Amino acid sequence: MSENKVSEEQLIEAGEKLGELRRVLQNVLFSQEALIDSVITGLLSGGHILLESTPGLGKTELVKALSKAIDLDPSRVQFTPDLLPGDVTGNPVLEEENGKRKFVFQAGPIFANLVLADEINRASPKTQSALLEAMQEQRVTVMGETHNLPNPFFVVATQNPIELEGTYPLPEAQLDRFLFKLHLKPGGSEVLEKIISNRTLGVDISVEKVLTREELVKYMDMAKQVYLPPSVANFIARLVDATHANEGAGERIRFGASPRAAIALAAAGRSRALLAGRSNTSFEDIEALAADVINHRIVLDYRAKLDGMTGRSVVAEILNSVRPLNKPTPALLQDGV
Amino acid sequence: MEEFWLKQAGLVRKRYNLACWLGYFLPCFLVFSLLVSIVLLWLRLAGRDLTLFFPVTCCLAVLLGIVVFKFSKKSFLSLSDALIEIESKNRLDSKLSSAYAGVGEYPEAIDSLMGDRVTWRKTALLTPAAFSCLAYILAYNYPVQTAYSLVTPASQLPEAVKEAEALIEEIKETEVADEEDLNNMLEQLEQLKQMEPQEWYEQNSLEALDNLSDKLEQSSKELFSKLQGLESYVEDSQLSQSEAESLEKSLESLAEGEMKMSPELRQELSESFKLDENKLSAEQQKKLRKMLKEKKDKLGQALGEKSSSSGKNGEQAGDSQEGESSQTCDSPGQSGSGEGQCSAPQPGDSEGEGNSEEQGDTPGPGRGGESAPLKLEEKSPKITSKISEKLNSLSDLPELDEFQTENLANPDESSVSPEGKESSFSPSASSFGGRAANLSEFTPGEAKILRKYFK
Repeated sequence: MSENKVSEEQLIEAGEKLGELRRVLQNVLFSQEALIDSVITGLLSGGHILLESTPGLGKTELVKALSKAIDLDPSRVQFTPDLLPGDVTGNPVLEEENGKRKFVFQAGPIFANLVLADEINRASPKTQSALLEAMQEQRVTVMGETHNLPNPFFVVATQNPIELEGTYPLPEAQLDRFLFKLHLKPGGSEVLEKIISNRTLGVDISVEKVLTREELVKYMDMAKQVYLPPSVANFIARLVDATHANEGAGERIRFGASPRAAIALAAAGRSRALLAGRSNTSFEDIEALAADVINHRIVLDYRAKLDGMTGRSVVAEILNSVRPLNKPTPALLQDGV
Repeated sequence: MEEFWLKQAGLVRKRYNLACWLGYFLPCFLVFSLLVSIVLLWLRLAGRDLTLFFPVTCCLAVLLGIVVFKFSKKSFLSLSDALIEIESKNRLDSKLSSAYAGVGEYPEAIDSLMGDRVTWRKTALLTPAAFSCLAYILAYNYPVQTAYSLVTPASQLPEAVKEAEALIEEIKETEVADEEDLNNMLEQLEQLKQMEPQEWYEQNSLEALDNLSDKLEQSSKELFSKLQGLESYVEDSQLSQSEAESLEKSLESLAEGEMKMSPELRQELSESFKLDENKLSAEQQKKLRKMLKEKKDKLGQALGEKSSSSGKNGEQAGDSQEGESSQTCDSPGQSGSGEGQCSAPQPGDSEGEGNSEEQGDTPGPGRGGESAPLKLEEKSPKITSKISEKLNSLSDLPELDEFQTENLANPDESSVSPEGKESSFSPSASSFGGRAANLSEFTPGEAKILRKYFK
């Protein structure tokens, strides 16, 4: 018998609060429920998100609304080719105090709870590396001094998929540091009509605060305690392992997902379960999150590219081939329709 | 709810495990069945006893099932596996396995469970079973020529042995033949009987039996002919020199052959045939006539009874009508050539003349042709019928004609048994040659022409 570390009352409370957060964000970003859920899940997991979308779809609005709803300290960095690492992490500045000159560290925009790294692929690899290192370590070292980043620390990076000229695509090893890579797709005419009716150019959206920073940290801790059944853990392991297999969909992958992907998937699964008010992670959580977690961590084979496949479609194929139960269905049985 | 879900898991587990076991077992069973069928067929071909075969096969099948069970056990579902299977198929958010692990509560029961959606692949399930059954059925029922022991009780002697024995006993009772010769034949029959029941129907045994029957047939016929031949010497009281020599030779020949005449009878005949200047006295003639007639009748009766009893097989239509006639000529048309030829030496006939009884008078197929399966063709009727043909003087044309036309005119009133009548028109019949083979009956016109021809 496993001990359930999350009580029923806590679950109900977390479910209600996070439900409120979801509702608020849905009022800002219309018809993007899945994306909002993924963002909240990433937030609860303590992971970072890479958003890929064309400009003007509401990435900045989402980050702003999130910071307002949770009372987080937001910041935004517009990545350009001439941006230096110090412009992100902060620089030592020479100051005079009592007739003495000394270097004082001036924190960069990364020292915030919620950082929007806009068009991250436009910055030089050196600057990208500085950000990604900070994301991983949750601290910055300048001039031999280590500066811890605030908790919670959450980066939402964006990149534009249509303009490749003058960009520095993130290397696979650095992509691995993002928990999710999400795609923000434009809605239809109905969504547009809703946006037009509810928005005015140049006017900020009022977002009510529904969650305190402390509460968020509490829920982040709670998410870590959500029960992960051994069968689900086994499912995650087999799923990630299938990206290395030389058969089925795995054949189309040149480099499979890392163990970090498995850890990230488990953490995301726990957070999703908490968001749903459940005390346990399920196969459904993993199936829902697998593509977002794995798609940017695999390197596809040229055959997959020739076939027009994407990371997401390959992961979908893997999901079809890996059963939740680690035993094959007997050949004499079939799923009836 | 726990009870409900655990019960469902138990059901799912049973079904999956059964399917898993069958998935391994059925292909193995199919291979096993094919092997067993081959063995069964081989045993049948070898004429082996199958008493132990089926229990041993059943035991092996059970053993195979156990081995497959042990082998497939590693693929079986546990109760927790079954819960996972149910929750994943029914999108229950892993609540069952969590609750089973003590985290959270079991969900409410749902109406349509995964168990209702999972079905058996009937084709995959039934095909190996069907092929296995087919293999067994074919192996068990495939007609095998030497498989007498499988379907015929092994203790049952071939019919021909019994009939040959009965005939020998009959001949023995007539006291015409040498008892020692008859005993020799009985001894040979006994040797055949002493063989293993499985060997009774083997080729060499059946051939030995055939030879013995043939020998019995030939020798009894020969003895009968000798008696007939002696009868011809009694007709005239005065014998020519050559006839006297011939008589002497004939008397000497009684002690020769496979079936010799009994020593007592030989002695008596020798004494009775003592010639006085090639003459037989009236008293001698009378005594000899009486003696020869008596012995010939006895022997004929013994053979004739067998003949009439063999009429059931219909091989010799009309055999029994003529009873004990002393005429021994084949009827015209009886042979394939249509010629009437005497088979026994008639007074005045030279030796060898008319001894063509083998020619065309037994046109029927040999052993096995018309016999019931796994049963020898009745050999003795053939033997006795040949003899009785000669006894019954079918060469008597007016009588034959009358008999045939009577039967043709009134087929229902014929004294011939239905089987006999039918077979008389069959290719194996000895009458009418091949033409009658395709006729069930003659038209009045045909009957008239035939009658005229035979006349």
